[in-house]
Amino acid sequence: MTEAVIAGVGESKIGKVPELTTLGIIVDAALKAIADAGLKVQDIDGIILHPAFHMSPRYHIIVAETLGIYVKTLADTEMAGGASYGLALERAKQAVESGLCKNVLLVGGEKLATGHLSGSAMMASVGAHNLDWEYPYGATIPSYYALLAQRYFHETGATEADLAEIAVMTRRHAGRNPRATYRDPITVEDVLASPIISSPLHRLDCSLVSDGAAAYVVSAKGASGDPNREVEFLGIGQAQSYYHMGQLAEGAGDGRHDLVHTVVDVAGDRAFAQSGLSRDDIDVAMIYDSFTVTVAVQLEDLGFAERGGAGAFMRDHGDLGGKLPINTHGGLLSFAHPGACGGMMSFVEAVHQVRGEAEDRQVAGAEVALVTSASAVASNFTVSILGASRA
Amino acid sequence: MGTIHRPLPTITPDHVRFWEAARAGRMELQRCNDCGRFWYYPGPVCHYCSSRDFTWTPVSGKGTIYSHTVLERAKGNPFEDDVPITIVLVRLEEGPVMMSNLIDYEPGELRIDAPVVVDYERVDDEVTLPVFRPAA
Repeated sequence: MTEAVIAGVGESKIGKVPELTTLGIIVDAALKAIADAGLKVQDIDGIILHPAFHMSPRYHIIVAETLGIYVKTLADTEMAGGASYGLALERAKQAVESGLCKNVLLVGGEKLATGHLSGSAMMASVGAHNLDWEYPYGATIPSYYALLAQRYFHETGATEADLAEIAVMTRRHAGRNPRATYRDPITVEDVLASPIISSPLHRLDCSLVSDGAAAYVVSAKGASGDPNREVEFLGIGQAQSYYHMGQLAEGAGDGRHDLVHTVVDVAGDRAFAQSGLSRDDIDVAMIYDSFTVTVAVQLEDLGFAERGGAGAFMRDHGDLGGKLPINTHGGLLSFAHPGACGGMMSFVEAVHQVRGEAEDRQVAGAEVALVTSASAVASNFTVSILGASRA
Repeated sequence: MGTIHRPLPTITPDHVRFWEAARAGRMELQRCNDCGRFWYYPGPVCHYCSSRDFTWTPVSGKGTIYSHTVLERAKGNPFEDDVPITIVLVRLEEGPVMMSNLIDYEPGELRIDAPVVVDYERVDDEVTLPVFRPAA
């Protein structure tokens, strides 16, 4: 059976990129990923893209036309916000392993910092959340996560200071990354002193608003320019619940999931079962960090941290040299958050780590990386376990 | 709390009855004639058992706070000048959980499990939104 690998990754300039269009940064990331895989544009026969804010719903075709990819045997969109490119990765893997495609390009990019729209006004144009039953009450994306955080505190006894530890450690990692947007160290006190966006979440609990694009190429094992740099799929899973917060809180009636107990455990169990690995085998983790609380519930639901203990876990074990270095590039909180494709940058970092190419951020001897992606109100997840080439 | 510049819901045949009731100062939800449960938000079939057999039924309008937040910054949204806005998830006595606003409350009354009761904010001729205030 053909086995799929991540053959190459690429990122555009990130942060504020006024000199390039959205199409410009997307094409830049795509060409870098294709070159990183040692392939030519003409080798690509599949494309998946999340046509996000102010894009045509057929933007994947525009990107393919721009790049000159005439015949595609897979050309589609994946629209699940930050989880899109975790979901797309599973589709690309299946496409390669079934023989549908040889090389699938996953690419996305947005200009949230210097584009047309800013802040949570974008929500209305996309309808990720319920426009009839939630938005009329003044709900913004941070307020959804704030409702999650408040309930999380209530059920676990965790505090704002616990969540702040996640922002603090993420910034420490960003300090080692010259490409990160914010690199100066911060303290728990800094987080708590930053303005409230939607209580109990402070500004430093929230991800950035950035320009940027990322891409990866999924190919058959051994088909890239350098099989030793191919990254293997050890396990991959997804699980999606609801967007509407009331229904999300109610769960499925089995007492297993609700607002605070997310379905990421389902995705994780699937990924771990496929890989045959245990939590202790993970060398480095990228945990989707749209907000600090997003990281907290995932670390706990995936079984890395005890209930209410995610902040302490991040502080005590999340640094370089710790038991589980987390978000070594600086995450959406400090590296960059160009919308949905921000989630791709976690995969790009994981690839760098297991290839041993993460420079000052390198986790010594990293061979296995776990990457999550998430969207909506911490209700849609993917978990991928990636491994260094065994070629 | 002043009037919020609210983005308005689109009223469709699936839930016009909900909005008619709200205009009249009542909360009505669909109750399933098969499984007996109320659900929110209104829709064409029972959220729990997919039955099409339901009856629009008045509910008590009472519930408790499941979670809460005070939105302080909402740049780029139509209500950005209306902050702070207090958003709550309310678990209704009949079971479902809905998002709404809490109005006319003292600081100690914004807490999880606090009892609340429905009130109504008229937005325009068509839309009256159910909101909540602390139960007496």
